[in-house]
Amino acid sequence: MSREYAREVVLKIADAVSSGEVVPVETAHVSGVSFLTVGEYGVEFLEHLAASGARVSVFTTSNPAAVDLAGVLGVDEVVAKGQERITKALRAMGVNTFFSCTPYEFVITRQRTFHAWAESNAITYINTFRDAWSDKNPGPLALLGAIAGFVPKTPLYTLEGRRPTVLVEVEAGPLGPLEAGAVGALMGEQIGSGVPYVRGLSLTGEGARREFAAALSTYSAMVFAVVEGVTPNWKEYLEIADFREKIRISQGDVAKFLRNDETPDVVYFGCPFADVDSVLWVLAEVKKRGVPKRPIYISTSPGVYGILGRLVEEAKRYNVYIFTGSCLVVSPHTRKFRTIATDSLKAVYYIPRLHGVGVVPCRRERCLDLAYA
Amino acid sequence: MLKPVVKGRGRVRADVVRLDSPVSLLGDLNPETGRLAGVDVAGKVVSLPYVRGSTVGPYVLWGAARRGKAPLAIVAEKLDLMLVSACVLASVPLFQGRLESGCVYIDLETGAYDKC
Repeated sequence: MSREYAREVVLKIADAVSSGEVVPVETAHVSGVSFLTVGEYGVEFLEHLAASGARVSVFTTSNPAAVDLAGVLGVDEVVAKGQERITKALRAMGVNTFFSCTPYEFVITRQRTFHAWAESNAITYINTFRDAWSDKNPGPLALLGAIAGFVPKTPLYTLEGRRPTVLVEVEAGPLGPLEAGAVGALMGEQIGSGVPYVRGLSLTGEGARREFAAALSTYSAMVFAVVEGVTPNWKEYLEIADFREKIRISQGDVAKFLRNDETPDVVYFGCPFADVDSVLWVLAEVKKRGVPKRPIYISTSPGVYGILGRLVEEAKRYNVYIFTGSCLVVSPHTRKFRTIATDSLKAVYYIPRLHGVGVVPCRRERCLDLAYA
Repeated sequence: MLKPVVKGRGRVRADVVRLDSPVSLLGDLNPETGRLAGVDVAGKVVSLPYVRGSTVGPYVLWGAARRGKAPLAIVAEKLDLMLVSACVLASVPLFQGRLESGCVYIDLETGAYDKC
């Protein structure tokens, strides 16, 4: 009955957007699972679906929630109860409640396989760095796709729809996380839609890859870029490219995202969730420099959190709070702060809009300095 | 004639509410009252330029439909996957095009309409 409902809905959406064509998917990742963003109606929908007996038919993960798994972020009872209802409904449907925005850490999507993901940074990451194919599915569509086992065959699920249309030349780098985000944001703002082919993009590591993917998809509707020498099958993409536009991004353009006019009351890393090296870098720095004046918050995936083990407790002595399952974009805890310094341009975009809290974009090293300033 | 995107069934007489600015289903639509950007749209045809904002929008329209407060149909000039998903989820017929405020006889399957 319920799988029937999911199939019907996905097929109807496919009728409207892909002439009825669908593609089977190997995995799904569901967004819109924070009580803060989906509210009462989202909870009702998820509970209704779970009560009808709906179960996912492919491996399905979930995005961060309003509440973190270890209670570092305080939320009120209404939010906590709402979140509990969502978690219960998701579990009943067989969704893995890892509450991570970086499911690509443990879901090893293979090249040219189809996925129904619904978190823009994660979609962009697997499209760009793995050539695993997903379009940006609205939260409910990804979930219904997970139940049905397929999603509408929109252009990004076809090679034709992934043909590069804009040549981007980056004359800056190697780019750390903030600069990588700035390049992604600039590409997003200047191109808006299409498929960019990026030449000269040199990223310092995993943190930079995550920020690039997150910013590109936050500042535009795009969730795929071909990076020369990096994206699997990039040579094939270059061969089929049909460039209608060319843009250049220089070191000077990157600087426009930096601000120095405000003092933060907290420093935040981990949007998208911080990889293990990024967390260890912060811990090494504070051990060297001593306890910072201002707290440092780091959100990370349950996987990395588990690897860190007792370092999480030790970090607290250095005014560093590592948490998992939630983040400062989707948690109402963020409203307790006045100004947040961060190296994430995705957080810079969403935190003022969702919480009315100020942000200071800074390079990772500079953000850390601000914790001591 | 409007282009049907999410088809409904039957030919009905309906009031048309035309909105000139884009709306966000999350924030602008009150599922308890059926008011969209302050205007009562429950059981009416809404014509709007496009829908913007959060991908959570489909849940809000679904909530309104469950309370019997959803529009009878939505007519939008520009469409996206979010609006299509919202309409399918809530069983609200969706058409591409534009209507003027007033009253129409509309075929919810084909999008053919006449003014009253």
